Amino acid sequence: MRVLTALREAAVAAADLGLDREISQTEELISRAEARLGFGGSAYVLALAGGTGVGKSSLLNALAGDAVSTVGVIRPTTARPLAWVAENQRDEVGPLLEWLGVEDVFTHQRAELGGVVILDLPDFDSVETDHRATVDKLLPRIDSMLWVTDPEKYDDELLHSYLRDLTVHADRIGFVINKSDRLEPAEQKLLRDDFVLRLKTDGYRHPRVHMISARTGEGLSSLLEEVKQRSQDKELVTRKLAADMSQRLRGIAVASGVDGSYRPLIEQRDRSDAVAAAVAGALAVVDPDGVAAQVKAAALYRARRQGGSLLARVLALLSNLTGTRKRSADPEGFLISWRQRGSIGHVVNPIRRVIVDAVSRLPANTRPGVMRKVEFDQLEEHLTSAVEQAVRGSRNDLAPARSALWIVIGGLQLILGATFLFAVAWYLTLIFGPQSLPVGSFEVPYLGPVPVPLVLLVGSLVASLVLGLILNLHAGWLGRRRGAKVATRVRHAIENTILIAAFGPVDQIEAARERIAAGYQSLKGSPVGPLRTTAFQTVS
Amino acid sequence: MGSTGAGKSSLFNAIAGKRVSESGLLRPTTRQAVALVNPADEAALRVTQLSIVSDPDIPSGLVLIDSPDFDSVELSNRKLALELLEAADLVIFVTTVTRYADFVPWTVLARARERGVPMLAVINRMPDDQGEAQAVMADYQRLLAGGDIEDLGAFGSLEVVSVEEGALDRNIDGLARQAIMPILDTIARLRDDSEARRDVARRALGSALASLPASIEMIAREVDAEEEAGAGLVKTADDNYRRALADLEAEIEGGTFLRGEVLRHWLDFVRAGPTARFLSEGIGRIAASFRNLFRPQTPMPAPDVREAAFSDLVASAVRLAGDAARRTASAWGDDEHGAGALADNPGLWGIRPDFGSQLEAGLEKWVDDIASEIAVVGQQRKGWAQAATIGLNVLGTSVMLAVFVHTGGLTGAEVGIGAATAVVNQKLLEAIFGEANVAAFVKRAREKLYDQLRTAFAREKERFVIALGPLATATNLGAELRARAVAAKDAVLG
Repeated sequence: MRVLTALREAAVAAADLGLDREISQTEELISRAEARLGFGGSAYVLALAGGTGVGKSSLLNALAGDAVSTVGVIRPTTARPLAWVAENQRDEVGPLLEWLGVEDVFTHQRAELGGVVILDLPDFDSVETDHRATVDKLLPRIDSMLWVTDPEKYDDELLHSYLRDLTVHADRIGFVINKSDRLEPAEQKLLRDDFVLRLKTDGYRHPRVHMISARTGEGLSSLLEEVKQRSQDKELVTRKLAADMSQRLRGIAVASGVDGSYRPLIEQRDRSDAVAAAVAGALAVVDPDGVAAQVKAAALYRARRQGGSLLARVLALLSNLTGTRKRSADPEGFLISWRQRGSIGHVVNPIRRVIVDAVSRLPANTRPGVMRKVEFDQLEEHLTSAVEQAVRGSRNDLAPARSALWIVIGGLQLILGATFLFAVAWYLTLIFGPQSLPVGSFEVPYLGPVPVPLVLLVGSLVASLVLGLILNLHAGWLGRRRGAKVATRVRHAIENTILIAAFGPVDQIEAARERIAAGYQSLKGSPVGPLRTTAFQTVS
Repeated sequence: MGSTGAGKSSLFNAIAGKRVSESGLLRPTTRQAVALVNPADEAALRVTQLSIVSDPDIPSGLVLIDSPDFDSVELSNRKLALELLEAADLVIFVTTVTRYADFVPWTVLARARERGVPMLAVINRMPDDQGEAQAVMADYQRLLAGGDIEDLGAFGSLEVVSVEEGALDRNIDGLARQAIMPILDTIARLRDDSEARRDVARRALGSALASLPASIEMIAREVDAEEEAGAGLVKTADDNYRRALADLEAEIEGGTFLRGEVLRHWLDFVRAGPTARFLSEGIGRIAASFRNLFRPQTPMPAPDVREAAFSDLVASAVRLAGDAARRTASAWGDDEHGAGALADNPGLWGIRPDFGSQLEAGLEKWVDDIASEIAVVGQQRKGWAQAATIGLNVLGTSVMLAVFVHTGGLTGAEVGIGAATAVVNQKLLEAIFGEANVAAFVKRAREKLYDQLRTAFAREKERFVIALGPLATATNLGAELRARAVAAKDAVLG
């Protein structure tokens, strides 16, 4: 059966939606259906159902032409279900009757009723409430029913409350108004029309109502004809189960909110808006631009330590000692301390909002299960670790920039520094030295018109400044480039991880809903698959 | 009274002796209850749901009502029938040989028993086979005895009148009068004996009142259970929102809402410009003025500082309020009443959509109020004119920061900047309010902030209470019901 496959698939998908009740009902139905199909044989089970005193047992006796079932004036009479089967089928239907829990079995030898097991059910409306419990337990296992009522009880709310739940089986349900002998022919028509009207309100489009009298036998032959004709229908049991299953499938579709036209839980636009807001929130907290600035500062610091002038090196050392470096040139420390820079609410709130909105549109009793399945409780945790993961993943890009140029410049700076100090020492010697020196005078060499110590002094200073400038430009350029790269990486990592963390479980649910919708849509109109409609749908 | 199709109208017509109520084939026949009344009594009858028929043949002091059924598909019939059961002084309960053991009529009989209304019983469509008729009668009597109904008769024990199938009088569209003689006799007796009539009415009222506490007890118990359930649900909401608020206050006190960069920006501003000049004295003031000549003027960051702090505070509040809603909704989902309230209000899974924007507006107002209070307090102090040059905006922001910084220790790299801010703020505020008043002023500002947050969270929680409806307001209604039932009984019965 196609519907069985579809229903099984839907039940699997329903697990993804957390529809526990739907699943247990479906499993129950499937095992019932498998049990029913397992009995083989062609006989179908027809039950006479109705309130106490309407004449179910009398009807059975009239059909049988014999006193099969006890008829009495004391209400309620029939306490246990009773089966009436063809003699030669007694053994074949034995296990089926056992499954139905029917112990009282009577046999007949009428070949024309060979394909049907007729059950006389207890009532459902008397003060004996266990009768009703028996009926409620039996009804789902029964293939076909004749609902019997009488001029007194045909409008009972209790009767119609049963009928309203059985409309999917309309093809396999016939209606009987007994005790027609109490009415004039004109009254019979009025009454029948009134009952038909009520049945239509219940949801039966073409109810087939037999007006009979079990006492006089009026109307019995056409009823018997229908019973016989129905026993020719080899697909009755299959179709009955298919109807149960497609109703069950509809139940799952309703619970999943896909019984109408399918619409995703969260529209693409709302989803991308929410992700954009969450990403913006995460970026505001993580602050990739701040990271970039730190990367650049770190590059500059390293360049100064490696290639700075003597003064620059001392300043760099100082900045390390005072903690300035730690604050403004420690990209890794800055990055991993992102949680201290703002509220995770910036990330969580937009996602939560869109999920609450989406789940609100589902049927009420489905919501708690779906909330569980979208891991709503763990959303904050997921998003936090998503950002954390993005941040940690970017740490590898934070190794400080290095360059051979800096070391070369550093060497030159050392030489220039030494030259500068030498020149300073020379002048100091010239100013304070001669008195203490053993030589009387000292010839200062000239380079052109300028004395050499002055050349050395000014030259080393200027060269050092120029080199410092080059170093700064280079390190700044390198740091900026690296910083920008890191910032972009962080941005992308956050975008990716948030998308998955926010809507990963939602996607799973969405896929499940889509599967249920597809299964439900494919079966609409033709629940059994390639089968013709039954002859019993014809209207009188 | 009786089931649909039991023959109420036929009996009614037989009692009236004429065709008054339409008995008929189709169910439910009596869509509106017919009341037969003496013209003299008509004015006294003030029931709108009845179709009143004046009949001089009906003795004054007697109103005969043909009630609708209580078991057909027509729900309005059922409602009116049950109301009439409560109002009647004498109930003639009609059933049939088919119906006498039906479940629904027996629930009505159970209520009649509880109410203690005097009754007469008719069983209609009895078979003409005497043996069968007797068997049915015996079974019905057995059920009546089992239901403790048999002593409810109008005069003494309950009389069951058996009416044979086909005992009809076509002229009046009713049962044959001779078939219901015991009923007619009883009515005649009531007609002729006003004392007996009053006695029946007194009994009907008396037993109704006497049974009131017991009947009310069942309702009161349900009310108690509902109130208890409601109180439990409200407590869940209370706990979750209290916890959320406590978490938020902890975050405020942890200094989470002060970003280092923002504070640095703020310090840069405060250490320069008119603020620095105001804070410095003597030579320092001259130095500050001198510095100001060379330094580019830092733009006033007060709005930025506020926006940054508020944006985080609001984000955290939204997050925590969302947590509280989510937790409460989850817990309510496991409770029958809670799930019902949630079903109608799916928004309860999250926050009110305008929660964030309202809170933000509230915080803006909070800072504005601080600024105006500064103006009021400051004007009483000398040196205000000079302080005012700094601008109320800056001063308000400074108090706001004081609320956050004072309460909290900052973490890691932010400690230094936080401490510096605290020091500068303290100096600034001391200069305006005097050393002794700063702490009190800041404390007041903090309390106002917490008031804002409390109000915002209370409004969120209120949605849950409203969703519960009357269930949420445990007013001890059960006890009141019990007391009133006893009072009503005592007032009449003494």
